[in-house]
Amino acid sequence: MGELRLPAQNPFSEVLHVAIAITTLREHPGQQHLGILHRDGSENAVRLLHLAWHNQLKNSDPRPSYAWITLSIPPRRARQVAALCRRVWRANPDGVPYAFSQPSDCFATTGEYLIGPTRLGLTCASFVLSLFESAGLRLVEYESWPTNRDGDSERQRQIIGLLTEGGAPAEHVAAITAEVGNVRFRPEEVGGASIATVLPASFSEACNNAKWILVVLFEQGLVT
Amino acid sequence: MIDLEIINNKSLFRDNFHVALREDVQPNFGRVQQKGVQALIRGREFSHAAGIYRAKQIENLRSGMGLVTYDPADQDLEAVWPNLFKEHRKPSTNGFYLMNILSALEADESKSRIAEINKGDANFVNRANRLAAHGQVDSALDLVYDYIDNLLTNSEFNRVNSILRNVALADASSDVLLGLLTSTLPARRKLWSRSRFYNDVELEFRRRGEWEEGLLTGLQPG
Repeated sequence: MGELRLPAQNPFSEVLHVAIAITTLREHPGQQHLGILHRDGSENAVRLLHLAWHNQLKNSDPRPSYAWITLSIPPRRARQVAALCRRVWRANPDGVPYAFSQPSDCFATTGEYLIGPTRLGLTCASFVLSLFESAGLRLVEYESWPTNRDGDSERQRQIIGLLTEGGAPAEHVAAITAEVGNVRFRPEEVGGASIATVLPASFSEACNNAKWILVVLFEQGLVT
Repeated sequence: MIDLEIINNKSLFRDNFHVALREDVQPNFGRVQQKGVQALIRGREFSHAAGIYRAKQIENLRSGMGLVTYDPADQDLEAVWPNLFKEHRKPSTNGFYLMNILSALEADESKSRIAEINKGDANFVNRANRLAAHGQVDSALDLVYDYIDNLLTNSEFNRVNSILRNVALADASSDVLLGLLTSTLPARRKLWSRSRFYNDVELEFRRRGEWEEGLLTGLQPG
């Protein structure tokens, strides 16, 4: 089973190969953000690879405002995910678009994000799912995730508004507007799935774990 | 010199290019000799047509010359092209189907290049194994991912198949083996040798006593 760890007790230097990082967002109360901590042995450093926003793929030093989650995958496989993180980072110098597309078959053999009619872009959470998926590791049972939950479409429309305000190309905004209503994988749910004993995790197990993660994040004041 | 012109003529030849003696289409352009071949390539599908040529020649094309001169000292090409003239010439058109030429050229080039390519590919696996053996596992994996991705991007599926087929399993680093399986996952449906490689890797992990639950989950041949 994976474990939720706090940087105050367990610094990021303890990340063996790969872990999930999660925080709450100061500017967007009630929203969380997710990324992948990965160790680069050649630099002996742990980086946080995350889709921060539209075309803003970042690979930065993690802040202590993130909790981190170990996964119940064999260490050798975790090391491959870390290698894939580095490859995806190298292959996407222009970032990855932000949209609500499903997280399957997203990365080409080159690690480059494949844009297509059904692949307009990802969220921070679906980026994490898609990267693990590309390494052959499925974190969630996609078919168990419900559609049209309360708040999902509203959140997606809110993001479209922010993209528009931020100057995203009109054609991209128009295209992702058609994706409103797509299944939404919330960051805390993907975090909850990562803790699961057996992967891929069902929606119900991920949700149960997500509630606990949120409690810990708020209690510890882990805000970014 | 033998001058060839490759003419895009999809309406007649679908995806093929029509290749003709340049003297047929540009009678005043050049003279005919037998020691080498020149090919003038034009048309929007230029890059596709150019894909068969060696890197140096592609560079020449891209430099805007649009003219490729094969080195007469290149015994492979010197041997291939005159034969192509004999085998594929269409008396009615004085032309050739590029695809026929492609096949013959590739077959011939493969004779002279395959040993070199295989040696390079084997060296890459050996280099990754050496890095891993010296504790630089992440550098070894970066090499594996970059090398394989580069081949797959260029649709070099046969070379990747060859790499997977020829890995010396007993000498290979476990992480490198997993790296080969993982980096080839997106192209699994195009890699016929990957299925056997997967089975061999599983057996090798069991033989080493390194097998554990979930080690190869999701990497199965598709």
